[in-house]
Amino acid sequence: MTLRAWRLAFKMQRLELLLFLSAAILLVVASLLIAWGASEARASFDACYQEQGTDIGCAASPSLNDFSTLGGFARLGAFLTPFALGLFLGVPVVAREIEGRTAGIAWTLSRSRSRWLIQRVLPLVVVAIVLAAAVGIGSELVTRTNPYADYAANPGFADYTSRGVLLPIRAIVVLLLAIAVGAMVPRQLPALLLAAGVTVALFVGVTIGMDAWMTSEARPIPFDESRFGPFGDGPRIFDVAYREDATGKVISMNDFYNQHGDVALPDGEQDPPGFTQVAIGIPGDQYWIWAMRESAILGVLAVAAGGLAALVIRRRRP
Amino acid sequence: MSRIGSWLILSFKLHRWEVLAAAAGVAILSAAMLWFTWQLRALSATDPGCVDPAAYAPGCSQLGQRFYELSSKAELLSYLSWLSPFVMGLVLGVPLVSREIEHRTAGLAWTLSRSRTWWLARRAAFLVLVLVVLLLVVAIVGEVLAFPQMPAQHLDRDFAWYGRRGGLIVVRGLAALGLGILVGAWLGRVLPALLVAIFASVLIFSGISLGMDRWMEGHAIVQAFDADRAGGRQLGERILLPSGELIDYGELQRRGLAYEVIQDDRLWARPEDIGHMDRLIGYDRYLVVPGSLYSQIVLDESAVVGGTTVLLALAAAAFVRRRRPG
Repeated sequence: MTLRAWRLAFKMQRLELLLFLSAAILLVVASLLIAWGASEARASFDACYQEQGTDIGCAASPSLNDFSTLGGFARLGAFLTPFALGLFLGVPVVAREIEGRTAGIAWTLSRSRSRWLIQRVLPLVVVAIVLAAAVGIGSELVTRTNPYADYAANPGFADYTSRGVLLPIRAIVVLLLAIAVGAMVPRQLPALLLAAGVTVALFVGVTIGMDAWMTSEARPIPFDESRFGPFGDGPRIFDVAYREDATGKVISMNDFYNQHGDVALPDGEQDPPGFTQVAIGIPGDQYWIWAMRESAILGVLAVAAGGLAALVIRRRRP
Repeated sequence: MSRIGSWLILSFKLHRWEVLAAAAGVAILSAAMLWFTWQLRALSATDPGCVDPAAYAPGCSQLGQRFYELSSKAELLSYLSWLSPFVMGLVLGVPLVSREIEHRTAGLAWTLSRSRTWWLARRAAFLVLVLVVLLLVVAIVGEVLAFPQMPAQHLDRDFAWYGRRGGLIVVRGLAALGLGILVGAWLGRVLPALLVAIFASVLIFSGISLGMDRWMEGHAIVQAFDADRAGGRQLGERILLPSGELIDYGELQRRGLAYEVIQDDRLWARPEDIGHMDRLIGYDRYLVVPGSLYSQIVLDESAVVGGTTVLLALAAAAFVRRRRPG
């Protein structure tokens, strides 16, 4: 790819690129500030708590609650980033050329339509990866400094869809899918609406499929009563069940109550005698395995979407 | 063909994809909502005593469970009703001017018309007509679904599903349309304008919503923690200090007034303080706008949003009058 091709690709969508660049910078800076502020506030709160043995008079300003709320907004922005990037950068690549009746001349001037497509798409793929990765890193820091959890070392599955490695790969899938839809429906706004619908359907499908896969491999996880609730290392929990202490057999809550009826719990106990409550899920330390699996699936979908876009463009009337 | 007929046909041709997409969306949403209405009504008719979530009735568990499941799904649909005015307003409004500019047909269209304002008014009037008709359907179907979904409530004086049913949906859609036209006229490119308009609408409507919440505090009453708040709009928990001052939990924390125990509705710093009224931090209270004010609040918000719409429309007209067509 020549430098000229890169410059042309940027000029064609400069307004969208400028908007996304500004939004990404704002989001990343905001995420860094939130993460920094939250960790400072948490450190001062922890120091006060350790000194006094109680949280009375340990309120920070702005409070941990404020940072938690702000972190929620940053994570929402990060969650939406790959979809916005992919749809708004992908749809006009072909749709705008056809709508503006410039596709014919652009395709004629290029050695082949496939080559034209690659020259137009590659810079956008790079931009989408860089921006989504930057936002993903910012959001990762927000999650790791969550004031109401101990995620600094390992956040596990916490905020699974709004941080880290999944953001860039999601952006690529949506981008290539949007290009394919834009090539099939050569008007920008209808193509955007259709691409958004297809994207929602696709990701709902992927999420349901991944959940089913994870559920099939879920195993009992003991409750670990830490300061911030029973699950400190961010496991993905699907259900809660009882484990029989004598045999180690796990039975669901429904089965337990069907077999034993309502059992009176001894004073101060959470579990019926002879049983221990466990969660059914995937431990947080398996985050990377599952993130890689989902990335592989999304990678295959991205290749399929890219292939579809190339096929449509090769056969399409300009 | 009459002038109105040719205006309708030309306007439809220029926006047929957006109009068809909006109509299809409303048709699907309305059909789904009406199906849930029918299902919920059928369940209520089977045994009316089993669908009141506030009352436990023996022998109702299966019917109650089915009603709960259907009613939860119906509630999800109501969020689409809430979203529809923003999506439809922007999707219809943004391309009105921006597409003409992007396709370089604005100059010709504006030259052929009596004036740019007249051109804008004619084009916008068609979209207003379409939007009002479609959103009226959403607003009415929202009301129709709300009744069987909340059979025990008096919805004419209840804040439940606020903004997800009734006339506010139409007014919000008109404001989103005005915003879409304005941003489209300003940027002159469809997709960047849509992106900016989405961002601007989040800011504007969040601002209106926050402003309305602050304004509603003037109408709110302070209620005890265990008081009946049915139908009211809860503006959040507050602490009534012994001095009579009402503050929220954030302010309580900022003042360093931490509590360890809430007994009944009283906040105490330590368990050993319980009963010593001189050490009482305050009383846990709710700030609630009574449900009887529902219609008035809807009218007030409609007036605010309507005023914003007029301002946006005037700004759009001014923009179009002064803008270069390319």
